[in-house]
Amino acid sequence: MRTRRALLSTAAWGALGLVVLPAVAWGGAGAQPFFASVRRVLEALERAGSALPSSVASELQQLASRGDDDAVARARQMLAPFVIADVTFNAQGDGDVKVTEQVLPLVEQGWRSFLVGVENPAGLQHAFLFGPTYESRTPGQDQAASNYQQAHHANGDFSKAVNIARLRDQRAGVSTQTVEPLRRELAGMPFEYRIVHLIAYRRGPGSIVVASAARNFPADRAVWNPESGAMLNFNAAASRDVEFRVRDADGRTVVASITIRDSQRRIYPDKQGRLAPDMYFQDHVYRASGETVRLPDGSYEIVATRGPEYEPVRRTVSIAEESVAPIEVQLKRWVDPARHGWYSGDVHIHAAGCKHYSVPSVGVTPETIIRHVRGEGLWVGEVLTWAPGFAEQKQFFTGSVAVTQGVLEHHEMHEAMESSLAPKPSEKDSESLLRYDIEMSGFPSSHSGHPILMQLKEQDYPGTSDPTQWPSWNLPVLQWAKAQGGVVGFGHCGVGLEPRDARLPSFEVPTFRNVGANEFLIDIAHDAVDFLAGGSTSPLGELNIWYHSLNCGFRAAMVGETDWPCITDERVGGGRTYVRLEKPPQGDAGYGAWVAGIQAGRLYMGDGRSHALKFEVGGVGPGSELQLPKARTVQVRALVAALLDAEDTLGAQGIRTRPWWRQPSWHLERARVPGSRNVLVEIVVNGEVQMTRPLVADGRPTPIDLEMKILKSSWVALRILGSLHTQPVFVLVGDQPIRASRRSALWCIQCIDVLVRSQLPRVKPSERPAAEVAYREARSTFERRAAESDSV
Amino acid sequence: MTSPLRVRALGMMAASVGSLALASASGMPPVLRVTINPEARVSVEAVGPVPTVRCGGRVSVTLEVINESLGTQSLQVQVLSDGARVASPPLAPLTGAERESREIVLLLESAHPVDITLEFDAGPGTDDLGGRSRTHLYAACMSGTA
Repeated sequence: MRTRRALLSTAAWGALGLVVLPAVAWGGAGAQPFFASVRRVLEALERAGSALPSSVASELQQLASRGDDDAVARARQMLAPFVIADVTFNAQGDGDVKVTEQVLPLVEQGWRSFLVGVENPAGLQHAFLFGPTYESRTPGQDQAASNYQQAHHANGDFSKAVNIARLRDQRAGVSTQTVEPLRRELAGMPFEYRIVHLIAYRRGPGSIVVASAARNFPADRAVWNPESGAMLNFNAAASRDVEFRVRDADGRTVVASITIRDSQRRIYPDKQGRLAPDMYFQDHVYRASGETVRLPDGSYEIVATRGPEYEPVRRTVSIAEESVAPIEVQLKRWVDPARHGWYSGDVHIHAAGCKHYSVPSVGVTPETIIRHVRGEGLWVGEVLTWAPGFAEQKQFFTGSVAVTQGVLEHHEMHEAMESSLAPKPSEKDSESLLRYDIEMSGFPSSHSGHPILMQLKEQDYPGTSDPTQWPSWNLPVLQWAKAQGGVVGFGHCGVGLEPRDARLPSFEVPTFRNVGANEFLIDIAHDAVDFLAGGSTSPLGELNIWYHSLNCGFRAAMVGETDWPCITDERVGGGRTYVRLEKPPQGDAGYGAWVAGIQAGRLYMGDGRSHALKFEVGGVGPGSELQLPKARTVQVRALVAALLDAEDTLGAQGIRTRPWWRQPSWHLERARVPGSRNVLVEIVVNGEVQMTRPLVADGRPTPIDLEMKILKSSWVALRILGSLHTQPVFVLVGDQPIRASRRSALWCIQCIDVLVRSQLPRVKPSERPAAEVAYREARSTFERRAAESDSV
Repeated sequence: MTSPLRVRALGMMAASVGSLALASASGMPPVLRVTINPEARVSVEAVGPVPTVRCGGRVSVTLEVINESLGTQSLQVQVLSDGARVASPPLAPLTGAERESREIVLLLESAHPVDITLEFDAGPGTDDLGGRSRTHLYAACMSGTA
């Protein structure tokens, strides 16, 4: 067995006879690439759930700021304990591997991440390969290995990608799965660190022979010379399935979000080896009561929660061989909107594409998604099939609420990993439902925005066999969807529409060049759109176009969405819609009632950290009309609850002070009055804030009772900017329609003029005459509304 | 109009053939491929080697842009690290075409080799998740001849 050599100094490269670029030595300003590499490795380890101790990270940061020869040497000394091998590549990319003498601490059926130091004097920018040599590899086997990793990370069709029997025969495995911000290729610098991941399939001692190469795919087909291998010794700690028993605040069993870290802050299950339903890009996993997580002996901090209506529950547990008792988790709610008749949903969830990139055309199944929806306490999960996975995912569309089978996808892989994880029913499973529909993203009309089509009966546009044949503008599709009973609106409505002046309302005219609700003003004028979906990007961009449309007398709803895992991969239900219903939404009838509530505007939306449990103007709620014979004073009554940590921490300030477009764009911390636990509740009339009231965000529902004079037909809503917005109450004075702002109508006309120049030319010539008519009619509608408006 | 699904297919095909796919107007092969997915999330990957230049000199980086969003927004690039800056004018807005080429010029501000971290977006908040909108280039410049 070879041993890891002493750390090489710059001078040593020459002594080894290696080809060295005519660059300066490490140290001084030349240390910048070294520390840039170190920073990337630290970030990648953090993302992999295997962060280095914070003391090491902070000292490395201090060394980076020094940036001299001693700093480089000291940094390499500090990282040496985490390095399992040093590799030196010759100009042909063949790696000379020298491994550590230590016995590596691996985990049975779990991945561990380590560093490899790479000397690359030839400056190769090829793919970095590091793996076992227990068999002579061929390009085909490498493809199998690649598919293996894809299945691990993207939950692809595992049964076709992996030879399970081979997996069972192996003692240990090595992966060089790239973790951002590292990339597959070497940077080309003389020295850098890389991350490799090792798994032991059996407990106890063992060894594995590894080799390394730098190859320029696809030109270089050969991988490495088996004779160049070096032996790594390891000892794999035993692990075992540990059962969780999870109960909701009412005592019933339920699915919860569970985050598990050991004393070194490492995440479990390890993120490198996750299979659906566990996502490699999330720290947490979802488990129902009675389900398991595989853990080695040790001490763990467990954080359990179930979406923003719950307070996280923290527990410290020790797992020892003689003690594998189930871990009891008792969840704690701070608010229950359903008890007030408000039922939550997320109208924008994806089961393929974006963070499911590795196999974008496949994605995950309803069995996986329903677990996430349940684990975030959502009553309704709207799963939208879109371009990357349309052909595959459309199989799950039934025109009805999805039925899940209680069988894990990739169950054969779970079995091969000797995991006992199997879906267990919970007593609250019926409180979450899934519906599969469509987001027109990656469709020919997507330049005009991304409509969300809900409650479809048919998912193929007439006369088409795939989305490439769909219309190149949105209105015909929206009308087709509504004709079959669909409820439609625009996803991520504010993208590209955020006003640069950061005002609300703003009269800046957007360029409509991105993927926001570009065609909304055309479609609303034709009564073909029910909602805008927000809560996912800057509230300024989302609310501005909505406010102007409301000022012109239109009544589209603003609903909450997440666009998981595209805009955020944190969790579903980041943006939420709360619809008022008489009874819980269950089955097709319940789903139908829920989307009917969206059409009727009986809703509020937001991040779920604050709630308008009641909002009434003159005794009527969101989406309703209040008729007044003449101008008069009305009562505004609300019951509002919000929850912030008691202290205004640096983390809270970090959220509050970042630009609106920087995630999280919607977060109650955005509304915190600095230095307090208060947020401002605002009453908005015709887009302008008319009244504010401070609210202590301690979770307790607080009544608000105001009087407000209504002088003309107006819309009135309640908001906590960046966290909560109700649908308005529409107050009609003297039976006059709302024409709240001539200036808003003129803004809409200016926008349509921009759209005529930017969007209309992109409609197919065969469809353009109809689009031109529709655009003209929309402009005329807003011209009439401007003329009917008596104010500026 | 070319279909978005075909755009996707072209993007995947381009990925499979590496840097042979596209050359810039200047004839230089692409160094970076910037992909704007249908949801307008911007990611970047290296597809070709960074040319070695003189320290303190300029390095042209050709971008292959795969635009699956069909948007006509402007692509933005920032240098997040010390030792280099963008020395070229703002990139021209995209045309909505499925594939385009753009070029940026980086000025190396150091007399030493420098690791350059670049971040791309197509408007506020459009950076892809997980740091995919960032990449790094190692400018292995030759010292002392700037």
